[in-house]
Amino acid sequence: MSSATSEAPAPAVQFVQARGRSGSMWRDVFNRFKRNKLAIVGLALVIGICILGFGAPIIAPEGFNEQDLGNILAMPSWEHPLGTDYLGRDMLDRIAYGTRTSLIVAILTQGVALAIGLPLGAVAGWRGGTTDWFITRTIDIFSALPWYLIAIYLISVIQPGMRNIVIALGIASWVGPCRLVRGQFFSLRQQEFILSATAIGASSSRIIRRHAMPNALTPIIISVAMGIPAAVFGEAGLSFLGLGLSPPTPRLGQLVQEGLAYFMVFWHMVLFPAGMIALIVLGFTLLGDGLRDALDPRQTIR
Amino acid sequence: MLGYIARRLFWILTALLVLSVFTFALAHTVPGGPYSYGEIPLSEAQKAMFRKQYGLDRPLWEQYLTFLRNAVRLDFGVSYQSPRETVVEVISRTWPVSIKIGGIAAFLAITLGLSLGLLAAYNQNTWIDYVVTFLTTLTITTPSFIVAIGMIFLFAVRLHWLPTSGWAGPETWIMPILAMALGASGYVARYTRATALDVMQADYVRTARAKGLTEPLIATRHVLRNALIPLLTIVLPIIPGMMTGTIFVESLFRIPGLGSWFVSSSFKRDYPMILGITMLWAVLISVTYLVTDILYAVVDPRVRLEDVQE
Repeated sequence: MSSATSEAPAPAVQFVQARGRSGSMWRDVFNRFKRNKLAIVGLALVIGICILGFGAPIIAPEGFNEQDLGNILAMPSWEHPLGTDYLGRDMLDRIAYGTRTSLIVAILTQGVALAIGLPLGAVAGWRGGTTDWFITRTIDIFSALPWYLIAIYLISVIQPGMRNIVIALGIASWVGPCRLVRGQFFSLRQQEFILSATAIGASSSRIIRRHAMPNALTPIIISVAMGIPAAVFGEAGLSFLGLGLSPPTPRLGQLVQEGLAYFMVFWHMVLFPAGMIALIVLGFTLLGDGLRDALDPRQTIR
Repeated sequence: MLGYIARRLFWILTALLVLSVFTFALAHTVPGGPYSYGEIPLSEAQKAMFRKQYGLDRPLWEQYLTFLRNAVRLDFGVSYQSPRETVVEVISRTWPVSIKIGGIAAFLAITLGLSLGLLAAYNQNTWIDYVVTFLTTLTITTPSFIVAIGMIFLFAVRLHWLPTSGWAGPETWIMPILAMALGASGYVARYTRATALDVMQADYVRTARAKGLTEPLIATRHVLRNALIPLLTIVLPIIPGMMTGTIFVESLFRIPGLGSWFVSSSFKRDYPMILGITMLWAVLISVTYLVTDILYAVVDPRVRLEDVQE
C-alpha cells in the first residue's frame, strides 16, 4: 500500500518546486520521475523483464527445446525453478524466450505504428485542408473497429510469422500517435517561433524536422510508452488464440494456451506464463504513467 | 441539430462503404477460398464447382456489387463454415449470447466504476482513496484473459466452486462476466474520481454548500449530475465493446458468442462471416459515438454540436 501513498502530493506543487531549483527541462523531468514511487517500481520491473528477455540465451544456453525426459510435468523445484511442461522442457527457459519475443514484437510494433502515424499526422496537422480531411476520415474508419479485429483480420489474410504479426499490430495501432501528432502540429503551426522560422525563409521540411517535431516529442514519447504494454497484450492475445503462429520460438500467450489442458493439476504451466504477461504489461504501464506525469504534469489523470 | 445528425449519418454510411471495399478487396486478394481448409484434398473440377456455387468465378467488382446489393437488404450470404446457415442466422444465434454476457458485464462495470470513483473522490487522500487507486491500477493493467485465468485457478481449480469453462447455466456466466467487467470498472472508476474531484471544486458546488444544502443532496444533484457529462464519453463506448463479445474471454471460457465465432471465421477464411461481423461492429461503434455526441449536447446545453464534431 505504501506505493500508492506516494501519489498524495499535488502535482502542481511538485512542478513549482522543480522549477524553482532551476536546471534543464530533462532534469525537472528526472526529478519528478524520481519522486514517483509507482514509476520507480515500473522501471525496476521493466529492467528485470528486459534482463530476463534479452538474457534468455544466457539463462537457457541449451535453447528452449531441451527436454529433461526424467522430469516431465515436474512441479517447481531447485532444478527447474518454474517446473517443466508436458515434454519435459524447462518452463523458465521457455518463459524467458517468450518474454524476448514479446518485447521484440512490442518494440517493433511501436516502430511500425510511428512510421505510419507520425508522417500522416504531421502532414495532416501541417497542411490542413483537404489533406487533413482525408487523413482524419481514414482515422475515423480505423477507430470504428477495435484493434484486435483489424489485427486478427490482417493475420488471417497475410501469412503468419513474426514479421507479419508486427505489421498487423502496427497497422492496428498507428491511429493513436497519428491523432496526437496531428493535434500537436495543428496548434504548433500557429505559434510564433514557427511563424518566425517561416519568416526567415526556412523550408517546410526543415521547420517540421528542426522546430515542430522536437516540440511534439513529449506526446510521442508518452504514446510509445503507453503503446508498448498494449502491443505486449496484443501479441500475447493473438498467440493465445493461436493466431500468427509458425516459428518454433515459444510465445507467452501460446504457453498459456498449451498449459490450459493441464490446468487442473499442473497449474504451473499456466500461472507462470500468465503471470509473466501480467508483469510485463503492469511494468510498462507504470513506467508509461510515470513518464507521462514527469514529462507533462498537467495531463495527469488521477 | 437534425442537419448535424443527417450529416453524421451520411458520413457513417460513407465510412461503411469505404470499409466494405477495403475488407472485401483484402479478403479476396489472398489465395485460397472456402474449400482450402477441408481435410480432404479437392479436385480442380470440385474447386471450380465451389467457386461457381459461391459466385467466386465472377470478376471482383461484380462480386462486390452483388455483395453490396445484398448487404443493403441485410443479406450477407451463406457462412462457409456452416453452409446450412446464412450469416445473419449465425449472427442472430451467437450475438444474443454475447449481448447477455456483455450487457451484464457492462452494467456491472459502470455501476461498480461509478461508485468506486465517487467513493475515492469523497475520501480523497485517505486510505480508502489509496486502496481504490491501487485496485483500479491493477485491474486496468491486467489483461482480461489473465484475470480470467487467475479466477479459474482460484474458483475452479482450487476451490471447485465453479466450472472451468462452458456454457450451461448461470454458474458458467459468473467468471466471464467478472473478467470482462473488472478492467472496464477500473477505467470508469479512475475517470469518475478525476471528474468528481474537478466538479467538487466548482463554484456552484460551493454555492450549494453555502446556501445550506445537505451533503447527500449536493452529491446527487450537483456533483454526480455534472460529473456524468464528461463521463458519458468514457462510459457509453464500453457498452458496444462488451456486447460484441470480448474475443479473448469468449475463447477462454468456450462461450459460443459472436467473438469466438469471429476467431473461427478468421481461421477458416469464412469471408461472408468476416464481412458481416466487421460491418455489424463498425455500425454499432459509429452509432454509439453519434449517440454519445448527441447525448452530450442534450445533457449539457453549453455544448454546441458543431464543436463536438472535430
